[in-house]
Amino acid sequence: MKVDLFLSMMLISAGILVLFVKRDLVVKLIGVEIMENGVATLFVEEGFKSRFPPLLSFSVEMVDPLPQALVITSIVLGFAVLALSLIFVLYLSNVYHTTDAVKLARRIEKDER
Amino acid sequence: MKGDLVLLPILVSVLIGTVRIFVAKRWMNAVEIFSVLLSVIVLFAFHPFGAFVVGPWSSALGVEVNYTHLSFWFILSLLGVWVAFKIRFEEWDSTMESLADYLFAAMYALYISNDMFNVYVTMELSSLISFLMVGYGQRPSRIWAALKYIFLSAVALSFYLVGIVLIYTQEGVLSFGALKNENVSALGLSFVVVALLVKGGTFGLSSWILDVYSKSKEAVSALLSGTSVNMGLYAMMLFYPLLDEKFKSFLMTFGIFSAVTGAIYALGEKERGEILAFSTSSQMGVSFVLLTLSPFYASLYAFGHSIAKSLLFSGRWKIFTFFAIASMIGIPPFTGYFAKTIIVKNMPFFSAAMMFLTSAYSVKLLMEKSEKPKIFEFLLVFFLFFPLFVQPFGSVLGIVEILLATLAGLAVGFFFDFPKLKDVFSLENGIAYEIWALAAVMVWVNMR
Repeated sequence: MKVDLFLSMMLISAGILVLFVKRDLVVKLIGVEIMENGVATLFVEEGFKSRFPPLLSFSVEMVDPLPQALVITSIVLGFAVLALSLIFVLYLSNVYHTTDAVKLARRIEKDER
Repeated sequence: MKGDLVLLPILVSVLIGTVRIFVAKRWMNAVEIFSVLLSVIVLFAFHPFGAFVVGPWSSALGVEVNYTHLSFWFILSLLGVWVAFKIRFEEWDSTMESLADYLFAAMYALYISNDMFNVYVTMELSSLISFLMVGYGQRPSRIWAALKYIFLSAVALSFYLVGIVLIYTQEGVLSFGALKNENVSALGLSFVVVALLVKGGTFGLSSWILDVYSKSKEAVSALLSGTSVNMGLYAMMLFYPLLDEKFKSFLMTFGIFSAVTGAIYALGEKERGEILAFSTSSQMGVSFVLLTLSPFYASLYAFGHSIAKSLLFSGRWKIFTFFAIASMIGIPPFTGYFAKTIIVKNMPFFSAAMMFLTSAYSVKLLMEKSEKPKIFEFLLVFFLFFPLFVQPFGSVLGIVEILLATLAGLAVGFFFDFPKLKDVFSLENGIAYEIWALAAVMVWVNMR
């Protein structure tokens, strides 16, 4: 397995681990961001073929610009989702004075009954 | 000209949705319905089936769009559910009405996509709008449901991106048109299949479905039940020609598991929203099984399921509830019957089991208090009968078996009270299921 692919997968796995293990919603969102940055890193690394950017006029093996364009789109969408998530977390923390996911789930379920 | 017709509904719905933010009058709903309906009817009238690339590029370089017979049924289901949502003339702010228009545009764009990254963008956009709609109303339970959906969707769509980058590395293209008959990266497809099963509402992987459907506002649940889960199914249809026999067998096995387990969980529930949430997981399992038999029948079933679910979420008139349930079970002359003929023929035991379980858990819905029907319910019922006008009825396959299985299920559902099963759909469990499913697919595909 390529080292760069392995490192990107490690970053993605670290993000998922934080999302899975940590109870604090803000830390979970950080985990989501780490995971998405791992995916972005994977995109950029897979597009990397040589050291030269695509703007040079002489014929060389170039970096593939398409993955970079794709990753910009995914970063923007990820940012929009993150902003919305933070607003939701802010609202819940204002109502329940905690960002602990387990406590929130229990209190919300209790209020619903 | 062909391209203009296919892209017109997106342009119309985005424009009208933007105008709707500033015009907070309820009559504006009629303008929205008229304009979007007109653009889609023109599309259906000219039926410009086929693929084309946006701009002067080849399919390997440009963004390809493809309007097919499969897209037709998904677009029709989206139209039916969306119009039913608009006709309600709910008393809420115009932002929600605009969000519904943008959701229409995003879902429509998905149904004409023929490019892997386009599928990602449209799924992400549709999901973002769904999150906003679910969280509407500042009720903590809705906000929590939306947050859970966000987290699980983020992991799924990250898996999807990893999958497509692995495919792109090997193939060098993102267009489905340029990828036909290729031996595509199995590792990449593993990530993609799991991601689409999560988005497709299957049991266990879609741990968000219970909270989203039971806690959202009724109108939102009705709209999302006909749109959000179809994302995963349609995207899987696009990837289906690239899957080898092992992936297809995994899809069928998981579909059967989701169908049966979802129905068993629905048996133990008492609240309408929760019964319908598990029913959705069960029916989506049936849809994925149908996909492995015939994509056309899967698209027809998705259409019938969207309409029936939307009717069940929003309607309370006993007769229409019965129609919706009959369609889900597969009783003629409803849509579900036409779609399920292939399952009745090829998998008779599974078909009988699903009819039995669906009728058993539907008893509680039939026993609820009946209310007067509303206008939008008549529209949805029309769609339940729609295939009668376009599909040949043929011979009534196994009508005796259908009726026996249904009656047996109704009797069991009426006379027995099943206990509620353990809630194993917490956020952490949902993430764990996604990872286990990924490992399971990889093991399954690599088994000799």
